[in-house]
Amino acid sequence: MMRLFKDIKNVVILLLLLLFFIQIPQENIRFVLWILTGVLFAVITDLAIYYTQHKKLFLPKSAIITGFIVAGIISFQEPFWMTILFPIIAIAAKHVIKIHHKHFLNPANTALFIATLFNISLSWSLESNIYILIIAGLYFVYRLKKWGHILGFFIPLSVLLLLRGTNPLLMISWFFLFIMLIEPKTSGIGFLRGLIFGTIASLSSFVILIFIPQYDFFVFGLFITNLCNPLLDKLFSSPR
Amino acid sequence: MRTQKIRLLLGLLLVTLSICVQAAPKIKICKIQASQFKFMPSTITVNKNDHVRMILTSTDVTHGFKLEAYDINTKIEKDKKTVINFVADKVGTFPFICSVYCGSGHRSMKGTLIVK
Repeated sequence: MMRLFKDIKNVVILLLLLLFFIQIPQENIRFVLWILTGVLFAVITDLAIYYTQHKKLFLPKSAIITGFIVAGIISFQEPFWMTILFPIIAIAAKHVIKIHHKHFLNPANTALFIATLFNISLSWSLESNIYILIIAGLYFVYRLKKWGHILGFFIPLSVLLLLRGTNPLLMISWFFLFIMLIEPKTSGIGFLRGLIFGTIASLSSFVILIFIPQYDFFVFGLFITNLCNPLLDKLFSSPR
Repeated sequence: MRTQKIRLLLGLLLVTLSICVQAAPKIKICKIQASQFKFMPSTITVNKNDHVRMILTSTDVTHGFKLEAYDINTKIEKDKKTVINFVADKVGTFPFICSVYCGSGHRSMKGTLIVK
C-alpha cells in the first residue's frame, strides 16, 4: 500500500478516479463513456508514439492523468469525437512541442486551450468534490514543494477578484489550482520560480476574465504562462 | 357614393389588420436569471413553433448560455441583458448549460428546454 503512494502519479490517478466515481450519479452513461474513451485514447496515443520511438511498452500513467483531465473538463455534451481528438492532441503536443528535448507546455492544458479557442464548452465535470480536492491538493503541494506556485497564483487573483466584488473562494477552480497549475514537468521547481510562475498565471487569467471571458480564463492563463517557460528556464538556469 | 367608398376602404383595412394579427407569430418571453451556480428557472417549457425570446441576466459574474440543439451559445454579463430569439421548431427535451466558467460549481449549472 505504501509503495502505491510512493509514486505521486498513483495518488493523482486515485484522486481522479474518486472524483469520477463521485460525479457519476449526477450524470448519465454518456459521461462514463466520455471519460473512459478520453483516457483510452490518451493511453493508446502515448503508447503508440513511445513504441515507435523506443520499441518498448510501459504503463503510461501520465497519459492516464492527461486523459482524465481533458475528458473531465471538456463538456461531455459536446460531439463524441471530441473526447477522442483532444486527448490525442494533448499527448501529441507533449511529444512534438519541445525545447531542448523537453516539453514546456502542459499537455492537457494545451488541448483544452485549443478547445476553448474554438468555443468548445469546458464544464469542469471532474471538479466533483472541492473538499477532497483541497485536502488531496495540499498533499500534492507538500510532496512536490509547490507552495510558491500556489501562493503566487492564489493571492494576486484573490485580491483582484475581491476588488471586483467577486468571492475568490467561489471563483477559483480548485481542480485547476491543485492538479493543473502544479503539474511537475511544466511548472518549474523552486519557491521563487514558482511564485513568478503562479503570479503570471494569476494575472493572465484575470486579464482574460475581464476582456474575453468567453474563453476559459484558467486554461488560457496557464497556456500563456507555459509560453514563458523557456524564458523562466534561462532566468533560473535550472531544469524543469 | 363617397360614404360607401370610405366604408369599403375601412372594411378592407380591418380585414387586412385582422389577417396580420393572426399571422403574427406568438412570442413567448422567457426570463432566465443566472447566478452562482444555477439558472432560475432551470426548466423552460414552450410549444412547437413558438417564437421564443429569452432574456438572460446575471446577478454576479459572467456566465454563459449554451443550447446545443438550437446552436445557441452566448455569454451573460453581470448587470446587462442578453436577448436571444429563436423559433422552437424541434420537439423534445434539450439541455442547456453554462458555457463560461463561473466558479467551482460551474459544472452543475444546467437547465432544460422542453418543446411540446
